Formats: sequence, C-alpha cells, structure tokens
Amino acid sequence: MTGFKRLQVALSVAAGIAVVALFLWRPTAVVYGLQRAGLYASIALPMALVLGIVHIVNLAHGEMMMVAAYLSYAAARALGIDPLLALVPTTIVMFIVGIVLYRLTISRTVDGPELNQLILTFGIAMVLGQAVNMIATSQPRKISLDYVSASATVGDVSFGVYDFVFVALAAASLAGLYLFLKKTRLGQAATAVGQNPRGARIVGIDVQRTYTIVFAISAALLGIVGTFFMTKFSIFPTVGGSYTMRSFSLVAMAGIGNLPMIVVSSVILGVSEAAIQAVPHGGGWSPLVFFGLIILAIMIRSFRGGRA
Amino acid sequence: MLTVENVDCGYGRLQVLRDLSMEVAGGAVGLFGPNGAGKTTLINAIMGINRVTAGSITFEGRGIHNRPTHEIVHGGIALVPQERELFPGMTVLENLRIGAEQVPHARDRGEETLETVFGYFPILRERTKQLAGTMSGGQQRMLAVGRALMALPRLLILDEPSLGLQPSIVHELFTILGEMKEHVAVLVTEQNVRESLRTVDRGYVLENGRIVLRGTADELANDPEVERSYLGL
Repeated sequence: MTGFKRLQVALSVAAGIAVVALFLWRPTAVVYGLQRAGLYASIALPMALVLGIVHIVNLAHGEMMMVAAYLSYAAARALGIDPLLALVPTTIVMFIVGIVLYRLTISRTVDGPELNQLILTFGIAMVLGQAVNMIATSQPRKISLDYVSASATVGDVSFGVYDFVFVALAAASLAGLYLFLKKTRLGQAATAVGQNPRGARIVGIDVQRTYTIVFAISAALLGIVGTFFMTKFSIFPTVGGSYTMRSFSLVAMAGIGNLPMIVVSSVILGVSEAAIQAVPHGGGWSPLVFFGLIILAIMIRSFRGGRA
Repeated sequence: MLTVENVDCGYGRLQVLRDLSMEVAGGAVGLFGPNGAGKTTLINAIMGINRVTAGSITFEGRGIHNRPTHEIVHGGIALVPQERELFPGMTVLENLRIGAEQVPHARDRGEETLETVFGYFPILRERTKQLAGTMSGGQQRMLAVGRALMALPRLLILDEPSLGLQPSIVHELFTILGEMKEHVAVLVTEQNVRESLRTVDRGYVLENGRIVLRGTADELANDPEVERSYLGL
C-alpha cells in the first residue's frame, strides 16, 4: 500500500468515526450532513470526470446545472407535468448542449495553455447566467411538490427523506462513471487521453471525439442533477455559481482523477457543515468550515511534495 | 507501400521539408541526417500530425496526407515516437492492451499479438503489473515498440529509437528490429548510422529538408560522404 493510499484510508476511517460520534450527539445533523454530502457529490462527480480524467477546466459547471434546472422547470410549467417527468428530455438536451459547447468553443482551447480554458469557460458561465436572467428574470422559481416534504421518524428523530435522492444519485453516478471508465472502450480512451493526448492519438484514439463525448456525458449528468435540484430548491440565475466553486474544491480535496475520494470529501464537507449548524447560532460559521477544509487539504497535499 | 511525393511541410511560416520524395517498399528503410534536418517533421507528416502544404503521401494506394492520426493508425501505420508518449499511470499490460483495443482490425487478435510482443521483449512479460512511468528509459522504449506492434501495423515507424539509450541496449533493439522486419515493414530515423546500417536494407540521407543521398545499406556504408559525416572515419 502506498503512502497516499494509506492517507486515503486513514481519512476515510477518521471521517467515519467523526460521523458516528456526531450521530450520538446530534442524530439529525448526521442525516442532514449525509444528504448534503449526496448533493455535493452528485454535482462534483461530473466535474471530476471532465477535470480529473480528461483535464478540461470548466468554470461554467454550476451554470450548466442551473440551465438544466430551468429546462426542467420550463417543461414542467409549460406542459403541466411533474418536473421529474422532464428528467429524460432535459438529460438528452443537456447532452446535446454539451456536444455543441465543446465543439464550438472548448475544442479550440485544449491544445493551448489552461488559462485560455479558464477565461473561456468563465465567459460561458456569464453568458449562461445572463441569458437565463434575461429570459426568466432573476425572480426565484419553485414548484411545490407534495412528495418533497415527506418525512420519517426513527425513534425520537424525525427528518425529511426526499433529500436521500441525492445520496442515491451520487452513488449511481459514481458506479456508472466507474463502470464507464473501467469497462468501456470509450472510457479507456478517456483515461488515455487524460494521461497523454499525444500518446492517445498514436494508439488510434480519436482524441477530439473522446473529449466531446466525455464533456457531453458530464453535461447530461448535470441535466439529471439539475432536475432533482429544482424539485427541492428554489432556482434563480446565480444559483449554480457557488456549486462550481464547491465542486472545484472537492475535486482538489479528493485528488485529481480520484472518483471514490470525491464521495469521502463530500461526506467530510457535508457532515462538518451540518455539525456546525447543529451548534446554536453556528449556521453563519459553515462557510468557514468549508474554506478551512480546503486550506487544510491543500496544505496536506503540498507538504506531501505534490505527489498526489 | 508508402510513397511520399513532392511534399512541402513546415510549421507556420517556417518551411522545413521542400519538394521531398521517398518511398518504403518493404523491409527496413533508414532515414538519416543531423538534428534539424527534418526527419521528425517527415515522420509527423506521414502520421497526419503535421500538415502537408503540397505534394502527396500514399499508403497502399490510398492518399493519407492530412488525414487524422487515428485514421492513419487504423489504416495500418504505427509510430514509436521519440518521446515514447506512453501512458505513465497505466501498467505495462494496460499500455499494451490499449495499443490493440482502439484499433478495429487489431482488437480481436490482441491476446495473440501480446504473445508475439512478449516473444520480442521478454522483459515486458516480467513487468506486466509495473506502472509504465516508473520504468527505465530502455524498458520504456521497448514498451513503446510493443505498444505500436499491438496495433498490427503493416508499416512500423520508429523515430530515433536509440536516443538516450546505452550502447548495449541500442544493439539489442536493432537486433530485434532485424527480426521484426521479416514480418512488418520498418521505417526508422537515426543518428546512430553505424548501428542502423546493420539492420536496414535501404536508406535516405536528409539535410536541410531535402534528400541528398539514397541507396542500399551497402552503398551508403561505402559512400565517402557518409563515412566522413556519419561514421566518423
């Protein structure tokens, strides 16, 4: 076992123990923390795919989820259907949006310095945000659904159960991405392109096609997440931005290319935020936890000589 | 088999190859010349990595110039680049497998080809689980040759395979190339002219983007100009 693997196991065990300890103190905080972790992980996993595996920096990540949420919202309002019925069409539309965005814009930056990608996708984020703002205005939108407020009581603890869909979504995304990368020819090609694009083309891989499909898969996953997101939360044009930053930080904490650690990092982040909020008047401190953890993760990585 | 006719090629406004013609009919062909002569530029033009601005390149009768690299690889040409371009985070076995997996005609015969590659390079069989990035330069070069062979090419191109290797390994590599050329056509660029003249059947000498000399290995070995410039006699 390498030192890095040992650190990962140690971190996972420490997170596990902290969760159990918190559960004895404030059971609801654990439940909410895990639900929050599910949301974070399901948004961060598509970014882990594009950033961690094929190294595309996408600052429009959260905005793409926001657009997906509005698509499902519009479909539900226009057709009078349950938003979850919009899941499949939104996912398909987002897949196509991913293809178009990649082909029209990002493909032109993959051979250049990373800063170009950063500026380009930052611009895309602004265009998406402002376009939605113009079309739908900045007024928050929400469809109230009965099943979202379902709750359960275990012993003397009661909590909302709907948010566990995010936990399920994160688990399904992780399993799906893992199978994709290990078991499919395209997944293998994606790993190869990420490790060495010049090496990839000389073993017969269509590098541009691989980038396109990987980016489109990430966009389609955001279509799924966005749809579930709008069933639970109010949406507005700037709702996605903070998730771009969170996803970035989670990918950085997990280590580039390490999908399972995304889930562990999300649990650490989600549960510690919930723990702080469980303390009376602690709510305002939760962003501090977030940034504190990021600083800690980066410090640990740099002390380890940047090997991970 | 491979015909390069009147090719111009360069980078931006810098023209490197001028009206260059050469061919590989089979066996092993050497491409010699000093640094900056245009050897790698020519190889990259054949592989579709560099854009050809005039002339044509045909392989088995089909025009391949300015086609995407992956199509050229699928069409039967494999490259061992100077920088090897392995996948450092994959094991030796994964590097070899991916060499066959992404090429339609090689895919189903992968396991069979793997045995052939292990036959040429027994060291790779011992190291199947090692990460490619942690191997020595010579072993990485062998892995790069093995990975290229996994694509079942009819033409194998090697760009400066001896670069940075100790003489005994260079000798071993060229001995193996000598066996290989019975099964696959080989085009090899080299600065180590003495070693490669043992192996190649024909050769070209490239200077400033032009072919200045061509002939059989014997003719080149006995050419006074080659002796003075490359064999250091």
